[in-house]
Amino acid sequence: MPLLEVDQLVVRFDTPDGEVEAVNGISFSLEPSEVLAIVGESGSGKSQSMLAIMGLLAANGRCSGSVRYRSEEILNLPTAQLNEFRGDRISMIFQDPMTSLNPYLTIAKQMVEVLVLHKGMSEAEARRTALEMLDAVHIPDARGRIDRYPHEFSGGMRQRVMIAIALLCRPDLLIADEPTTALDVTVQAQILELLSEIRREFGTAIILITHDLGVVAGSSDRALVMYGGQLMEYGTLDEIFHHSRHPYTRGLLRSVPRLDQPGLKRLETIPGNPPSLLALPAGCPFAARCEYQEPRCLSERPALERFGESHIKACHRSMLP
Amino acid sequence: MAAVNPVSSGAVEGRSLWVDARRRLMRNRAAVVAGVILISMTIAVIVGPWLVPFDYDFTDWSNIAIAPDLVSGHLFGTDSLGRDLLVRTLHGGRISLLVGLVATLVSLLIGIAYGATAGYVGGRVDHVMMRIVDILYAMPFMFFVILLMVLFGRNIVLIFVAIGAINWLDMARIVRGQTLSLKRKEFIEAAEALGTPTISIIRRHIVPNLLGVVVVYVTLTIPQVILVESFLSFLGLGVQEPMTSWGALVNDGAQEMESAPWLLIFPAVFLAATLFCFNFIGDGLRDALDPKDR
Amino acid sequence: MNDAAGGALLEVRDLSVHFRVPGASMLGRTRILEAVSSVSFELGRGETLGVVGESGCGKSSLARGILGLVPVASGQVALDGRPLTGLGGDALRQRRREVQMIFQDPLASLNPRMTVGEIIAEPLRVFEPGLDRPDRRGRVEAMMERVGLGASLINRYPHEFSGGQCQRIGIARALILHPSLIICDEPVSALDVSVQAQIVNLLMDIQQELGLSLLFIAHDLSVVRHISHRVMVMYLGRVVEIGDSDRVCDQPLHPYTRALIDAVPVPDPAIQQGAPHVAIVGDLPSPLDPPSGCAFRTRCPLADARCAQERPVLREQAGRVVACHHTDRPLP
Repeated sequence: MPLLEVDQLVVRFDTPDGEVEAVNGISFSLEPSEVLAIVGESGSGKSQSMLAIMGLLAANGRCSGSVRYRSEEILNLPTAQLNEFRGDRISMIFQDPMTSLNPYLTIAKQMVEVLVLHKGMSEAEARRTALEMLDAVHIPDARGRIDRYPHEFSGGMRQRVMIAIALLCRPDLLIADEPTTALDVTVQAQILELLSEIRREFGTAIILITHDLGVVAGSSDRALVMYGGQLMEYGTLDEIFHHSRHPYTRGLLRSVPRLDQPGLKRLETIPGNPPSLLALPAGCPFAARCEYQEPRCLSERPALERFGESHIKACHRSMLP
Repeated sequence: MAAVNPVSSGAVEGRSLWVDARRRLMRNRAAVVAGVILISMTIAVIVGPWLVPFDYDFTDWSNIAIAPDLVSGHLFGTDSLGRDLLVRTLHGGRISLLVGLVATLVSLLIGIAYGATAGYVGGRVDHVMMRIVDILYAMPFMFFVILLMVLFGRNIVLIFVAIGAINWLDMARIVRGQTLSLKRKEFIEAAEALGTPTISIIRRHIVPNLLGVVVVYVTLTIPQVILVESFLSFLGLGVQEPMTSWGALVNDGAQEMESAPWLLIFPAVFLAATLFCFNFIGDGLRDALDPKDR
Repeated sequence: MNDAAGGALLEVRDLSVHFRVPGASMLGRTRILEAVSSVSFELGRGETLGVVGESGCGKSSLARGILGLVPVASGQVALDGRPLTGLGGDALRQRRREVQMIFQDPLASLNPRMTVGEIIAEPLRVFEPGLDRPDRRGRVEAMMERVGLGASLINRYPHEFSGGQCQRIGIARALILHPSLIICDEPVSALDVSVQAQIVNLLMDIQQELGLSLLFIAHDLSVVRHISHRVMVMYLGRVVEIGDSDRVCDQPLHPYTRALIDAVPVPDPAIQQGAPHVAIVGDLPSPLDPPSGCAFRTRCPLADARCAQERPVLREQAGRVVACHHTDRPLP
């Protein structure tokens, strides 16, 4: 049974400048212990879709569609019921650990609070569990550091603490929203390695939101490419990276400079700019920048097409791999 | 070099941040109503006195201290010297609004120049300039005003000078604070890296980006200034008879409160309404110029 | 390797930039942060030198020190044979014509209250005040076209543009005086991936067309390798390795360079999920209290007693310069 099933998720915002459709019908499923990477640029809707699942949308946001966790519908649940899942079965970590942690509370307090609330533990037991988790994420001298404040930790350390807090209740699913974007690349490698270790040791499934194709390549099983709030392509890493059938994915792969290739060559670029969500075209959101554009791309939204077991794309043109 | 897709080809004119702010301001009903009232009030005090058949210092011997009354033509009544209250209120409005505007303008010009320079140049210059401001702050305002009165007599221009001379201190501090936070912005660094001279940076980059905060502050300063003038008049230090201001009228009215309440009510209502309107507009401007959007 | 023709354009010798940091407590002494510590390098004409390093490596302070935007503690910078350091206010300002800068946050580096035309025209107003309005406008429009912005956008405001377009505006502004050197401080880090490539191409094209030198500062080694002829790796304010970018990236000599290259994920699952990764251990030491001797020794697999006592100097080896005592030893 899949751990998480998302079906036609739509997220809309009411802004003074009009209605903005941040996510326009994405669907995917996640198996236990699987790592799914959601890739997209700004405005692709990748973060908003996960915030919707966690019930963390801004006040002017509304979502529709279906999100089933172990066959139970969790989209738009009232807060009280959602709180049984959040932090306990499904956890989320964010890009900037400094703003995700309360600067006025020690790490110990923040961790103990989670355990007391969700697991009904006593403070002493909670503290023991917290220390175990800090060790699991390789915080050196956990005993000495647990009573410190967030600002006393480095960026990489803080992100480890965030991960530790997220894992306290041994959730089935961890959603990581750009967890390494604000970190140095050597620290990023450490954190990504940690996430792999966590998957191996605790069997946690991970949804990794990122814009970095290198991160996707190293850390996930499957990838979902988003653009303008819609799903462009979805499949295993091999399918996405080596047999892509979507012009956007291909364009993206070609335009990224790679460290393993010699430099000083012109990059193949995707012309134009990411779309404004206030003025999305009727058809495929990528059409305006697509070199394979046809008239119907501008007016008709492409249907999802399936290849093989899991490879899905949304494009009118048939792109041979 | 192929051109990238430009932003929607439409009007060539750009949409400046002021235009955006104005649009947001127009949506704020309280601010718009307040604006309308203020504009009507300004027109009334400028044009009104010519429409009212009485002069502000004309004594109507047959109608001394009468209540508002249509028959005699004294719509607001008269005071103990038989002078029509309506025209005096309007005249008083001229003085009060003028003081508000001119004194604020003076404090604005001095305050911006002083504060922006101190804030941008920083270091010792800033230190010295701000200590001067601190010392001036410590000076008792009333003492200063009385001193001026003694030296130069009661003079309307003096009111402007006195009030402006005090208010610029606040403005300078606020402007300096804003300048300090602007200084760290990248476009200021970019201007320095370009080789733009300091004066040009202050003039072209700092000041225009201050105006948002300054404008809000100004709309809150004007009522403050008007109140100060009212206070001075209340103490008998303000405008000279027979010229009057709202403050002076309130002072006179307060003394006759029990026998002739209209003498207090009308000028007080005008004064209070004006202050309210400025405050509402100030609030609206602050929301409209929300820095989140910059 | 691209050789400088007729002498290097930019020569930096033992440049140090220090910042004063207030003491830890009220009674603590003011501490000195050595953001840049004795950095030396050269940049030839028409060449791009990439500067990479992680937080605290001093690359941004280096840029600002060269430009004179922050005070230089010691060392010399010479541009086109003439000194740039030690110049007073106006003399320094005049030399700014020759070296311009592009910034990291494209929108924040533009005055939100000025139109695009005014922003790009500003260098002209400062240095060529005699230019009359139609001429000035003509040059602004020509520059806009050259960087890929339609000239009809000249009256728009920065917030009406996307990140990539704002960066083009910044580039136009930097180019309009025809400087010989442009310092790029993380110019593509804040841009979307699909737009980064456009800007990188633009910079490469312009460099070739105008024979510009670029000092390209970035934390993304993939982009740096792509755009640079040579690359300089920094760590905690010091230079660790300088050399031809292909050579340094394919065969790094310094342990830190190797760790950095190892950590960069390549967008290819076959490569990324295949080879084991040598993850670097430990945390970055505080720049306020760098390790004695070699700054990298606390995280280096090759470190020994000598590394703690003696700070390594840049030596030539295998066609580049590297600062390490143990380049002869193989890395584990």
